[in-house]
Amino acid sequence: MLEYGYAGAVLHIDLTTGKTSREELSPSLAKDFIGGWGINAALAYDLIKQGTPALSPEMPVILGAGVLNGTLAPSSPKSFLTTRDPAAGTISTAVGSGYFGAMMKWAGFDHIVLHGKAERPVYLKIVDDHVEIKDASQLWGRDINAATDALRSTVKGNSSVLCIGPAAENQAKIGMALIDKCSTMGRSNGGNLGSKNLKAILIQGNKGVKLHKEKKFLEVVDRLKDSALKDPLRDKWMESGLFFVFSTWLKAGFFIHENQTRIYPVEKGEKIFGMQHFLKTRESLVGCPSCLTPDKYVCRIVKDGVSRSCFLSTSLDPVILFGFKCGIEDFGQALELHDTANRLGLDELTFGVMFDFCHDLLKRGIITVKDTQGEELKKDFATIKHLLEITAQRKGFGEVMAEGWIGALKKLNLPKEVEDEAYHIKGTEPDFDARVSLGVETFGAVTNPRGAHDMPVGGLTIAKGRNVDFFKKVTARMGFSPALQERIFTDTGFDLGKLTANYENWGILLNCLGICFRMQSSRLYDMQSCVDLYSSATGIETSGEALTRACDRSFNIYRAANVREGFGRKDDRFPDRWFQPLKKEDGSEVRLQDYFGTKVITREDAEKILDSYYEEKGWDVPSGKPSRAKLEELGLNKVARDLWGK
Amino acid sequence: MTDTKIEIRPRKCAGCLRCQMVCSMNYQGVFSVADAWIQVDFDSAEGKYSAFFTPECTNCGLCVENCAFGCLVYTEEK
Repeated sequence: MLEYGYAGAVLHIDLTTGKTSREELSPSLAKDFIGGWGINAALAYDLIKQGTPALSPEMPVILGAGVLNGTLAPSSPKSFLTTRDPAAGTISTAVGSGYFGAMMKWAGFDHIVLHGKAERPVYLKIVDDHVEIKDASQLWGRDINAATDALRSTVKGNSSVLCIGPAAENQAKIGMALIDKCSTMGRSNGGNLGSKNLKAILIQGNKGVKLHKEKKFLEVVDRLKDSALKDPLRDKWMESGLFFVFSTWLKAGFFIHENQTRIYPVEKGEKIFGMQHFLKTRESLVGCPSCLTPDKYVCRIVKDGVSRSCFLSTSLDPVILFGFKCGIEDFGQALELHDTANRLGLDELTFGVMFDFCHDLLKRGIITVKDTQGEELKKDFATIKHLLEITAQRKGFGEVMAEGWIGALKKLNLPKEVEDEAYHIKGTEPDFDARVSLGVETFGAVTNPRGAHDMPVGGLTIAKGRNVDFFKKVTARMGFSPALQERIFTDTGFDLGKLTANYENWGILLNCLGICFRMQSSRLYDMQSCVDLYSSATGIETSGEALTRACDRSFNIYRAANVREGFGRKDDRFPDRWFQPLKKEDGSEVRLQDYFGTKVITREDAEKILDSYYEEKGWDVPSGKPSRAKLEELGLNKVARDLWGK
Repeated sequence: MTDTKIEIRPRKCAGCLRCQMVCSMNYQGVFSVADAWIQVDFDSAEGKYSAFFTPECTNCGLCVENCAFGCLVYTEEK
């Protein structure tokens, strides 16, 4: 029985029958997969039957709280939602924050599994052991902000709400759930809640989390807290979040527009979107539980004499998506469009990049207004706002946008060479462009079984100009042994495949524990502090090696769940765009190069990086499948039989 | 004679709930916001936090020491 650190229970809710049941969280599951992201992956492998469609009643939705959620471990709010991504088709874990994971733990649950489909719109009200399936007919159709406010007002004291908007209700495949109106449950997957007629989950936990060795745990917490408070950049992070790096990234060419072909002009970017515009709208900070350096905000939108609050999870997103991709040349309008997307519960990242792609095709005459059902796809405020609304409603051309990349490309029926221009990996567009920096974040977007999401983040290779000594120092903190470092690093560079294969395990460890991987938070942690926090919280003695092995096991079962669905090396593909030059405003070109800028990377080189990655993972190189030997070595014998036969 | 009092400056609160967690752990042996002697709430419509002490609060100051945002501060009363 898991008495400390963990809540020790999994809650199952069958929305078809209305029955709920509480199951003890197996200690062996905790030992093998740690918690949060890892246990979600193991549950998904067991509970998702091969070939089950994403938006069907038979597709479970698995929620998970990180092991340290609900404790004082700095910045440990991460919760997880695993199901089949309706847009990409992959078995996919979305990552969220806000109060949801902590409330799950305080209510007494590490995981919640949703089965079946309610007959009519409902929401779940969970207050500790009291689980109610309640009528949501008054909430259905309302935007996320209105529904969340209405639900929070029904309980006394603090609570958390995971909620979908009209987009996911209409099963838009790029529909998304938000936590507490502010934190995204990491893109798409929201449609799965809509398909279950589930508008929201309101949760309040009053039981709390007990520790095994309180003194030891709090000693580590105090050390990490001191380090966070002494960070000379802390005030800047809290003032503006990622906006803090806006000018640096603008000059470095991170902001790309015109269907991923051109770098946004520096002077123009500063003038329209510079920090001063954000600071004018910024009103206050929104922190997750236990965070010491929050960077989510309440902003104020004033329009036509009416003032309203707008929640911002990542301060740069309105500028990147609506400013650069959708061509809106006004910060206030970009913020308003972000607010619209959030209220509708639409993934603005996919929407923005897909719009830019379709706009370009229309401009070049590859598609016509007949294909866009009369929409001219202009880069102006009214057009974008209208498109967001019809996408959420799945009407007109919105029906195409709502499909996400894979479905939209099918509907547009484009020539192969044009389809290959589409900027996605397994149905999701990468956040960062490898032509600007080829590193663990961009290559990790290729290998992520879910699609091009950030997995090993924390900004290790986003910034250019770092040297091998820096990487050795940082990876030593993550538990890389000298022998492993010897294999990865040379005097002047690194093997990107091998570095990513191991760095992923660190990202997964943070996810299993529920630690935020934003730069200012994840860099507080090293392997020893993770070991100490985990052991003192749970009473389960462990080591860096044991945790890393459990992360490896978790990643392998996640990969296996996707291999079982037909995904493999053929899908781990660098987008064609990355092999085409990116144009700067002065006419010069940027080409895909290795991180240190010593050589241009061709498709052939990219395949070699993949070879090295699979070898390091112990996977079958031609297929990208976890090998039988690797799976058996990790004790995943049943998975080995499933993938390779008896 | 001087006495210390804890002042709450809600505009500075970021909602991290650390004050509640440190209080409940110290006095109840559990991280539980419901059991803390300081209560923090969030007006999600306005995006504003509020906080108050329950009658059980002993004015021990643990919450002040653990507030990283200047929301809880000592003031001196004569």
